[in-house]
Amino acid sequence: MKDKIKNMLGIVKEDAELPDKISDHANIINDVGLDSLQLLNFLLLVEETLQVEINFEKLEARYLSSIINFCDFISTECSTDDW
Amino acid sequence: MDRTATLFMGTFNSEYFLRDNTICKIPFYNNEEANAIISVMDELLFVFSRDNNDLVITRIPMDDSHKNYLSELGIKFNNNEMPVCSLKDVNNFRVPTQICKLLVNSNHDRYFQKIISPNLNFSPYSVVPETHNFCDFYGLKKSFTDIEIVKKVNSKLYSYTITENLFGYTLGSIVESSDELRSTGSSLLNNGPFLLKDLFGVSGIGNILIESANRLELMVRQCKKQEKTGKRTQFLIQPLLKKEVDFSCHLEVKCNGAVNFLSVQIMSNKGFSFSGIKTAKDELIRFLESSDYFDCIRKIGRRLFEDGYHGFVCIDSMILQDGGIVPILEINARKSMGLINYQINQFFSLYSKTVEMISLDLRVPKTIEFEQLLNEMRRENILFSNNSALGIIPLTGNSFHVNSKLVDNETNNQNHVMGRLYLTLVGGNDKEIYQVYRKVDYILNKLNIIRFN
Repeated sequence: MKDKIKNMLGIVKEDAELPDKISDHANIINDVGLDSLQLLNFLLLVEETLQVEINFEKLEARYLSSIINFCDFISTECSTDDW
Repeated sequence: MDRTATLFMGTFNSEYFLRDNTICKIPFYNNEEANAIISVMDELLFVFSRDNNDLVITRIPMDDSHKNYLSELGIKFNNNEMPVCSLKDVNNFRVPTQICKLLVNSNHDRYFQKIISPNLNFSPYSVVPETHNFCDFYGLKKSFTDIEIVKKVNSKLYSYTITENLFGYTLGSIVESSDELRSTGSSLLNNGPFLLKDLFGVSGIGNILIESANRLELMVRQCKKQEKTGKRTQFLIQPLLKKEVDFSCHLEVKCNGAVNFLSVQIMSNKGFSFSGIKTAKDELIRFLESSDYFDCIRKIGRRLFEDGYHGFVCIDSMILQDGGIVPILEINARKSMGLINYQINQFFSLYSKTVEMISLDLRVPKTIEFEQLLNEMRRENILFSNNSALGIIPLTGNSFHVNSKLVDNETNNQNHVMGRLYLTLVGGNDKEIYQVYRKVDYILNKLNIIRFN
């Protein structure tokens, strides 16, 4: 899942090289540099691609502090029921 | 004639407080660092000050080095020496809060009672729900529009409706349920992407581009989920227009109904977020004059007055790639970034300079304070002074380091925090402005500050 997440970040940032440049520990806001709109686009892309429903209410800064933590958030806090 | 001393103060995310919370929201990530930056953008209001009698109240006092620098430029104003709220109360920064409310509940209310004289003319950035209470508390005269009218005219529903009433056409549709969003959205998608807009959305938040049926279905699902909790759906959906130039027209609707044009400002947007602004050149003004654009704007100003509003207005407009003009994309019945840039231009018109205002989103090492950045600009001979041909004027300082100061109060192992700078770049022409811009980049790199836009 980590590679898929990195690819989606590359799509949103329109930077094809980004997936190779970021580590599993990269902070999605601080290191990748997503602004509010890019972040929303990223989250919607994650929903579309991984067929999950993100719980926006539960999305806290700690879940965006690394790719690993974000994958954990998707696995534990997001539902696949509606897909 | 003596001018009455004026109090300038404001809350920059005013739409947040105007919006009806019973209506569904476009999902968003609540970025607390971004909220903290917005909370201290009130320091930009110094641009409206005329002299030492004017008072600019900011959530935390402006940085001394910043104030001293502005004073060297000849920009005079008073600023509170006590904070409206302590940096230890992090929620007063990270959660949207109206400064009017904080001032009524401030621990330093005696200090503020002393500096806020009832004789001051009060000029808020925008009217928000607590503005009236604040005036009652401090005995200030309420010479602004009633909050219910402010809510009405700032909604995109109003912009949509008066476009229809005044000009006989509409741009997009209002959808009132998730099912209507699905059906109307699907029809629009047949002709290309469209924008889904919250009725009180602002740049960067509250708008989303829908480019595919999948994306539309995700938004329908988000609405359905909220409808189940009792919220109702109401969004504006508009086809994505083929934009050539984004610009805004700034006017003041006087208490007697007179409509005063102030300026046209060209916006540079990154995606749908603000990133820079400059005053329109004569060529654009002539083009707008040759169309009936200013007649349209005058009609809008009159209608605003008839509907009970007076005060500053920013009307977002667009020139399309085919040369057509969209006079109203939305109406912001308040002061605005464009008006702030207009004020700066007024100041620099004395020097016959070209100026451009930019905002930079940054990751700042948390050990760096604004004063260091200012000193570096001075050392590199790029800080604008009255003797300079070109240079940078930092318009904000607290927005650069507020998040460093907030994390100082916490156990936090992050090395960088979010910061933002609003800068005016000054030069003799566009080429010189670009040179100044490159120098900004150089200085940020030197200080290990990462720039995102």
